[in-house]
Amino acid sequence: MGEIINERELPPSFMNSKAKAEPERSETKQFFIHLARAFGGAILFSFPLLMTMEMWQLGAYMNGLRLALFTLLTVPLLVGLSYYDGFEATSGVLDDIVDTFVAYAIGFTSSIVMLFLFGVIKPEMSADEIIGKISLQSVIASFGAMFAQSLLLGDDQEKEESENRQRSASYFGELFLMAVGAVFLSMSVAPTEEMNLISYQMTDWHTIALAVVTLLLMHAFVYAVEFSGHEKAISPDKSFLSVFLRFTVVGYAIVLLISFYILWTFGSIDDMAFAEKLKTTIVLGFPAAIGASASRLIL
Amino acid sequence: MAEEKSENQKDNQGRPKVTPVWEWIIAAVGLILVVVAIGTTVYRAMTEESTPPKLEVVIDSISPNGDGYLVRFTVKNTGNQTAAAVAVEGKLKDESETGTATLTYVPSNSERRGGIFFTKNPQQFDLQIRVTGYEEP
Repeated sequence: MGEIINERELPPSFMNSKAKAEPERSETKQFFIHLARAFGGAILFSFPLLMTMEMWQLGAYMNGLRLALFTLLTVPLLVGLSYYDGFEATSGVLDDIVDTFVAYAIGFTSSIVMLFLFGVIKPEMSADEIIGKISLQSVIASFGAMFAQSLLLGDDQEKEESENRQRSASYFGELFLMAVGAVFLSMSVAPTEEMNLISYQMTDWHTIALAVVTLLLMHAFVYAVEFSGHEKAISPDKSFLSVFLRFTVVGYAIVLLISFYILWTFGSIDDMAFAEKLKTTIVLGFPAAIGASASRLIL
Repeated sequence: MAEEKSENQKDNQGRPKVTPVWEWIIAAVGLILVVVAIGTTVYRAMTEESTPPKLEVVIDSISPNGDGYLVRFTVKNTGNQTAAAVAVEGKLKDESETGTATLTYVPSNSERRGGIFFTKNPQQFDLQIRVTGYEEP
């Protein structure tokens, strides 16, 4: 890892341990390649929400404090994501923090451009409304920018390099990655009215069945990770009960907490009875659980 | 991350060989959460029978608003089915004015708020407000 530290004199956020291996590529070119990839990731992952009506409405009227908290909580998630799987190899926490804000800046910029293109933000709107709409979209767009590395990889060498970094995920690290996956995938449907509508259409028995199916699906993913020979998945104790309790059940608990938090953030479950809140949480928990368990395969 | 360093026994991947106690503690907390979530729903499914929505309207406030007056109300659903497209009608007793509002959803055991505008002061007339209909979601 010595060569990474030496590169600290390069532009702060886009230094790359690869530059040494491929000296013919100039640093400036590297910088633009990473920048383009991050923008690509931001647009790729945020476009469904950029084209979702509820996101514009929420951006305009949602509780300002909840939006601020949501944006604030994105920072530690992005820092952690950068540690495990950022858009470039990082050499320390400071580097992860720098990358986080670069990702956020890219997410913010791409959101401004796209919302402007779609005519969602217009000059005559109040600053509050414009900033609200952009900051809400920036959350998911900055995740996309950070994800760019693992999903839009340019060549095999970088892939190998990122595999090396991924191996360091501990148990907490895996739970963290599950949380990130849950936030990321559930966000793409969480703001829609369908979350409430689906829960209203379901009886309690539907809800129970959905929770059970979600748990089984999660366990299938966990099982796939445990036995795929995926390096980072190695855990000492592979008995069914141990894997089920330590990954599937804990993962589902995280998923439910995150779903509840996101629904609260969007005000979707305000003034509802607890049982109704729980029902909607289990509904959103379905995509969140898929995101959580798949993240261990993808990231 | 730092938590790995506290474990002495590790395999060649840097992972502890025996499942640490705190992993089981986390697993227990997770299990409790999931059991409570599913258990609550099972309990409700077994104990409550499905009754149609029971909707009642309560007037929260009557205040001057622009050229007229605003009557704000809360609809409470005490039944255990959700009502959609809940139509609320406010009528002045002398039949001189009628106003309506539609609430998209009133979930079971929950409340939703709305408002109706009048040109005359509803406080000087006898205001009647009621739910006239709903749709099953």
